[in-house]
Amino acid sequence: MPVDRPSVPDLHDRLAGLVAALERGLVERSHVVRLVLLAALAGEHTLLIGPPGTAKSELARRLHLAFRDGRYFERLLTRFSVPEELFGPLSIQALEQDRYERHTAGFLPDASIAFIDEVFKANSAILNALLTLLNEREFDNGAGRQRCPLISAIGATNEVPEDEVAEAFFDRFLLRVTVVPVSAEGFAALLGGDPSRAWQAPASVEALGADDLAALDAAAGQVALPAEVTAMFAELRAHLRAAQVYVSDRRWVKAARLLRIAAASEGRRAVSLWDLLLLPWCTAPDAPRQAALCDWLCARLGVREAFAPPRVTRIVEAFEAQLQAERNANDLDYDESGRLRFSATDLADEIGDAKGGAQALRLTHTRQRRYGPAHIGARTRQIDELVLRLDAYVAELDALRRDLADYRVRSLWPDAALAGRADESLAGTARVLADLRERIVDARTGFESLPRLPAGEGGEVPAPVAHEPLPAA
Amino acid sequence: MNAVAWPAPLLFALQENRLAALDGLVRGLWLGGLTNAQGSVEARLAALAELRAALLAGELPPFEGWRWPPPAIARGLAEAMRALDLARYCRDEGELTDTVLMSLLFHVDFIVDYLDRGADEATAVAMAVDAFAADWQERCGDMDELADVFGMIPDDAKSTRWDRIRGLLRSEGWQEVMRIRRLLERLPELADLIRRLGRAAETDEPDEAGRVTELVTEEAIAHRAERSTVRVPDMPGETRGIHRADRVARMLPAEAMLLGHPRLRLVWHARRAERTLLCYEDDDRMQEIRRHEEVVQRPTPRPQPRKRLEMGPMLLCVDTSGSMRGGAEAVAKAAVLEAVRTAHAQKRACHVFSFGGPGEIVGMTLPVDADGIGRLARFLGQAFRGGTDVCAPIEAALAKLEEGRWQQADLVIMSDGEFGATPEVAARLRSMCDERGLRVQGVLVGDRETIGFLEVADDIFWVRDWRRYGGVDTESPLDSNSLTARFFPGALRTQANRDATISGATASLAVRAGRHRGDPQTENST
Repeated sequence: MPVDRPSVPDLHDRLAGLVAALERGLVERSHVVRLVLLAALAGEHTLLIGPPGTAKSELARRLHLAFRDGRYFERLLTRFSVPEELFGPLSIQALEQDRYERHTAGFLPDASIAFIDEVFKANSAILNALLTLLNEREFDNGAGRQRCPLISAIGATNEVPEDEVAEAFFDRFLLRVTVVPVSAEGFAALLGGDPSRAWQAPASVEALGADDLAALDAAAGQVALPAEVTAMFAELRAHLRAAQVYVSDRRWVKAARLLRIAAASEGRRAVSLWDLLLLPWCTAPDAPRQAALCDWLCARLGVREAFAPPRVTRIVEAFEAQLQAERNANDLDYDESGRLRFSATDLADEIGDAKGGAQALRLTHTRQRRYGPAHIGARTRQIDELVLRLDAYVAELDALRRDLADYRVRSLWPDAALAGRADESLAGTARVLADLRERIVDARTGFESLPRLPAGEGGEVPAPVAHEPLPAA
Repeated sequence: MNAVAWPAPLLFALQENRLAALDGLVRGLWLGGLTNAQGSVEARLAALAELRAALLAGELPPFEGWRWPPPAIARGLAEAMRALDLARYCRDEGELTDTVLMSLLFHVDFIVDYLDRGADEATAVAMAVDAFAADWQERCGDMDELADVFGMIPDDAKSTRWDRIRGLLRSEGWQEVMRIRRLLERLPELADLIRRLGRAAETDEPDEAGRVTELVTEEAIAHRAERSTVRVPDMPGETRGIHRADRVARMLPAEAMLLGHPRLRLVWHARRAERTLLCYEDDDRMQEIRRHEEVVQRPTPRPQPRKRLEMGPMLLCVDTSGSMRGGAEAVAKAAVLEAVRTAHAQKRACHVFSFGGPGEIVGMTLPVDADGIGRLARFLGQAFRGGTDVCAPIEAALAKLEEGRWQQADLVIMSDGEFGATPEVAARLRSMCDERGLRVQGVLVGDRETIGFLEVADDIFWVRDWRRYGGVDTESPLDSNSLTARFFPGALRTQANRDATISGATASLAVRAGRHRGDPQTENST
């Protein structure tokens, strides 16, 4: 089996077409559509959480058309649902032959895409069979176990109750996506069209077949997980543990595989750091915590907001402060041996006592401290080092921006708005760095234009520094 | 939600980590550490961090190991530091260590300026090292002196505010402080006495002054009732859903259908036997009250011996009248110095009132910092003269005792006993003692106790040999501290004497009525 199949790159374009087709006519649902499709590609189940009437079932119905020979099954569960409704009626003919079997054709064990509304309403009569089916994709029918062709089940619920049924189900769904009503901005577009009428299913050529999924799965197996991504996984795990969000090991494995599938579907050979932005929906249980985790990830990647690297900023500020001090330095600040006084109060005692002599006006020009080439050379040398340092920062930032731009061109899955915000933050950081560089170059000019010692002074060692004579007026 | 601490970004993490040493430095070192003329930033920051850690541990690393400044400079600096034994001063003194590093940066930065003014390399380095050594030579001497007097180095002397203290140490008053400090070594009982003042903390010694009733917690068993809601399955109340069971009465109609089919009847029977008939699930909730026994902690009052208290704020009233001149004055000053030392070492508050004649009262709080040392030096440096009016300072002290942070304080009166308090003040002092547990400690620096002193103080510590401290060396002629009580038993204001004394007004009334001593008292004599 060749490693890089040509089917993977062209899958990228087909998937892009599919996503576009699936979200056509839906308002503000592109992100949910992408997540649901990605989960289906990875063979994982999705849980949609949201109030009634937010196009949850519409999403599921559209999704099954993205698969070429996908049989679709949908049910609304109530507390009074009986096994026959989900798994099919008992076969009387089989009973005649002493076999206790169900007719599963057309029911859940026979479907490849299933939509189960109000999934947490499942009662104890159907719970075990349903959990087994979601988890192992097998159904106990009579004496044997029946393999189910289920690709992905989409559960929907208005709210997540807190009982044992919910706990049992909650871990079966890798992705938990909160669906919210359309915002004020999208409301006009919502009234503009009826999505269920005008929608055209994607052409069957476009739709995915079992061979495509197998190829994608093989390609995902070849996708590498770079060390930096693994390290971020470990950090995220520690962070969630500290926040007391329990994530099982199985879920971590599945989440890593989801990222591999995402990378393979875009034709990449390795998981990128940007793929990690998909993780909040795999790990955090509810919308507020998902948003917080998303923020945390963005902050860790340095794209949450424009920021100034604090330490190098401190160096720039230190040179500005030093320049200010040297400009204002006055020969009166130096003691008789030519050394700068170690503290200003000393000076105040000397001149001014209690009358605030330290603040008194002085003959600044004539008393201005002057500097020689060695002093200024030392300062500019340090600043040149700093400029090189800043250039390294700029280079690192540019590399990251290019990486993000390349990623956004090819990417299918991440939230477009989030990626846009990341790009803006990086641009802001670039402006901050440019500003820092400008400031330090200004400071360099400032040091070079400090008042100079008269040329020709030097050569002998003056123990106490003689004050410069007053210029002949 | 804005107070969330975001993690450090990965972006620039490598670049920023090269400057990680910056975070360990105090703000005061940033400017010098980042813009210094010698070497490059990273090596400098790392070297500063290493040097700081070593100095805090009381060690001076050999200069070959310094990453900054270059060996030519480091050699001189290390030698200067070793000569002064700076590492010893810096052990566990963060602020002082930072000051040392600050001045080191400062002097190294000056090398280029010496070059500009015509020195060659070696000379410039030598000049900088000398300047550094000169700075610290002076300061080490000062710190030794301060440590000698106060038993520690005040915070002001560790930082750049030190020059104020430097001025103080050159003053006349400071010489007096040093003299008094030497005198204290001959008065260990005085130091011990002052340590025991105040009432903020309990000691382990029981106090004979009284027993208090305290609440002692003991274990007891109590009966508690707990309400809980219990779900009772299969009790007709609410139909919650469908489950598998064998209750024929609640089975679904679909199950009943099986009974009408010849083959399926068997299925029905099989299901019933296996308890897998689909049935409606009923349950009901019942309120139930459960009683159970629980161990509780119950407080019971028990008399306990009271613990003696010490370590609170101190209020000192020092008699600075003319009669204290000489040795007595020296002892009083020594007590004040000891009080300031003790107060600072044990983080206690200390307030001193000095009293002379009427209206001559000065109150000062004496922390160990530049201001406090200045005030102390001035106080210890001045001569005592003036009259003696003890009421005003006692009233001032009583007023201070009303304030929140001074409520646990004890009062020390230092005098030669040549004074008398008015009855009102004495009574107020008594009532404070009875109600608040105030203790008044007298320190008598004189030849005999006096009535005035005896009635305001609970306990008197008598420094008999005070003349030895004023240069005049004569023995006190007395051997007992209760002469007054022995020879003039009626002179002291005790309760018995007070009951036996009648006021002038009552006496004149009695005379006018023609009564004599020993007559029976008539109740309605007006």
